[in-house]
Amino acid sequence: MFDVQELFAQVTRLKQQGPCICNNFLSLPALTEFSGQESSRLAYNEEAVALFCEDVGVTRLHFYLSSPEAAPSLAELLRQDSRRPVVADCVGKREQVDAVSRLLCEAGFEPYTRMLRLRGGKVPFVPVPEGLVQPACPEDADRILEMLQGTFDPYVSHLPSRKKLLDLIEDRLVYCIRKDGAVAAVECLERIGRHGIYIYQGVVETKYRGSGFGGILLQHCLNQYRDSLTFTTWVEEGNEGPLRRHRQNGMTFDGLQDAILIYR
Amino acid sequence: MDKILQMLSDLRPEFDFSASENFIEDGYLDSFDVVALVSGLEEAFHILIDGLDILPENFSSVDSIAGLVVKSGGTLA
Repeated sequence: MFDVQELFAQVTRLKQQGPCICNNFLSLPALTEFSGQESSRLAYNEEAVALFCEDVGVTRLHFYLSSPEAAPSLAELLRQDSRRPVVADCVGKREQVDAVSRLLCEAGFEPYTRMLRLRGGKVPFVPVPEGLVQPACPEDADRILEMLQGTFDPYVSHLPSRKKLLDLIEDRLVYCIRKDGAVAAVECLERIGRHGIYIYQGVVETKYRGSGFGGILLQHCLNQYRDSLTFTTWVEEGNEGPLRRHRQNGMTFDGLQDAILIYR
Repeated sequence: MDKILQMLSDLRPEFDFSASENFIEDGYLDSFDVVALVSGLEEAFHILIDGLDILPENFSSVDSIAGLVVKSGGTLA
């Protein structure tokens, strides 16, 4: 557990020394939630502030450095925490992400993968087979979690907790295709403000891949929210299938990257 | 105020910020944009923005951003 006010006081202390370097940013509601977790921890020294948060079984690091030369100070804080591995997301434009990644490597991290963000505007309505796609129900949550956890790398994908998934289902932001009574494919969305949609995670059961379910689900979701002003999504660098699908819907890279590094 | 509008346009050149009444609600700015904007505001106005002030309502319009700058000790020239 940690005190959010203490975190901000320490960050302000570093900022007073000069421009601060950080890797990622948590919103105040997210910080408040993490601050109440038993397993979350705030650590700091003269030149670095480190926040260790448990994110659905993954220890994630959010840090602030007083200068590029402060990487050894961050390494000192990492050595004081016994949890391994520790994952860090470095988010920003390429140049900034590359610079922060280099600092993390000096502190003992290794590059893991890189994500690229795509953004698009309004999309035209394209009909999909009627009745095939349905909103998910709370009863589907366990099956959907099993599919997401069985498909995506938790270090990369910020998988939802059961509570978060149930909240998304309640907000009608999760859609699925069922076959033989079971969820065969699912697409999860999140709202960004009132007029933005984030295409969060989608997965098709292995035996149904190649049947077009992924494309139909995504198109249905885009149809549902076609009045949204912006759509965003993250794609792993080199993952051509999803990249092609999103480009077909008019989405393009907007310059934001997420370099994911790991400390073992 | 012009400086703030310019910073917003540099950050997201694809959007017309004068057409939005709420940048966050309309999806013009998301959390990553806010981080970049905070850094830019601190540098441009020689201020330090308290983390407790990094709330959606403080980045919803040019006026609210200007208010945050002033609250943080900056001067709008």
